[in-house]
Amino acid sequence: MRTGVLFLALAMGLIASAQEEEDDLLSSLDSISPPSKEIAFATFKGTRLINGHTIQIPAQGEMAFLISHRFGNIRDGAYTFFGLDQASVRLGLEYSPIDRLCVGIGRSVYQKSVDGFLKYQLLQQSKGGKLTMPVSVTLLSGIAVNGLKWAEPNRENYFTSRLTYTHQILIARKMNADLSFQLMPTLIHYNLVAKVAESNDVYALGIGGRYKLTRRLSVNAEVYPVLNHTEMPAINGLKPATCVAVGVDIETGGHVFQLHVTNAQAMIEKGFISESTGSFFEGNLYFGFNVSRTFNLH
Amino acid sequence: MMFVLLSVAFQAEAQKLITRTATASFYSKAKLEDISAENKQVTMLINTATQAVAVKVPIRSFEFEKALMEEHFNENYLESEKYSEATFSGKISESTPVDWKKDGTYEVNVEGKLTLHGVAKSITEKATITIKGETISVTCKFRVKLADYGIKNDKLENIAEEIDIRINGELKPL
Repeated sequence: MRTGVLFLALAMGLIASAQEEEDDLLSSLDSISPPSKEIAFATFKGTRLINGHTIQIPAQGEMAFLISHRFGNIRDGAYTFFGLDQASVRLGLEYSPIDRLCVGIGRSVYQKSVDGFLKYQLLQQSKGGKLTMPVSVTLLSGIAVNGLKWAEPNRENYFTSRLTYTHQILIARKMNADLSFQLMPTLIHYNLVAKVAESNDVYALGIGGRYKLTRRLSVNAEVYPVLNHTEMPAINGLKPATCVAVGVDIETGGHVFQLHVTNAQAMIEKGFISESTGSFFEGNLYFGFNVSRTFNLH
Repeated sequence: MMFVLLSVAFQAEAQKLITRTATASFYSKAKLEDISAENKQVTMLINTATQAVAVKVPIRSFEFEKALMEEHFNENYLESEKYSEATFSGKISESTPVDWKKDGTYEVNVEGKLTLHGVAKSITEKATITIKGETISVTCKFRVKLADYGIKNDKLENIAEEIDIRINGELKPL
């Protein structure tokens, strides 16, 4: 009797183990090859969230060509076809000669500016390795040259007076496959300001994010509040408004189309962060788009 | 009794063949562009006592010619953040037995469950096993219909509807 029970138990055990074996084999593979380090990819679809930079740069050896447009003020109404009669353009090239480093140049209609920047991916969000990195951090340093004719050509003007610098620490986290956030502490330095009471330095803390609605469509938002607003340089005698932008990213193969509304017409940092004149919430809106095309230069 | 069970367990352990560096590659031929990728971090395990086979493919480890292809593959097609690996678990069919102790080349049928993009399906595919001393090479070529595994294909990018997959590994006793 006892032997019979033992035999039955053993037989049942064998049947059960045969069924479980395939899964066991798979789980034993897990212990043999633990998950390797995974770097978060595509935290954002493009190198721009809307107006400002994201932590992303083109892959090593790749060049991106950016065409960005901002139309006129929607408030101008039907007479200007809601701003579409006029357009401000920035043409840009971005190239990553080595891993993690990107160089970029651009030319804007806005103040006939030429801008250049360096972008370096300091940290990359990752998991599964020896060290878990919760965020990605990219450093950005840029310079913009105002190309307008001197307002007062008779006085002694210096080339350095045309220059404005931008420094940003871009900190982003991809929360999951759909949701990403970014913080953008920013310093903008004007070599020349109009008044003694105005600060040459403008500090801003940008906040942005994106949420993917489908595989190819995401909604983005971005805001750049200035921290020393009372002392920032005035534009036409008025303190500039906070830059706010909302938009969508549409991805089609090698292109990313970004459509948005924002209260800034400039597409360089010093322009949209510290020289936007009308408030977003009072309807000073500019419709705009960015198109980027990536080329492989290997 | 305990001793017998233990020794059986021990024996079973000794009959496992393994590799961590098998390769999986695929090829998609389409109008716009041909896309291929290779993954060298595939693990494969065969239990010669039970003929059981297990394969694990980490999706993120596929390497492409262009970075953008890799991004689209992970983000839009395989959704590797949700489904981080593809697995196969099954066994070598009894109709095509292998004598693991004898050198030679065996054409076998492998049957089991392929899990890809979170969808599991029963498949039976042909594989070639070559035994040379302690080294056992396994090659398997098969075709996967993307729609069967819920991998959405849209008309924008012209990815082939069926993808040719090749698995290659050299296994050694554990």
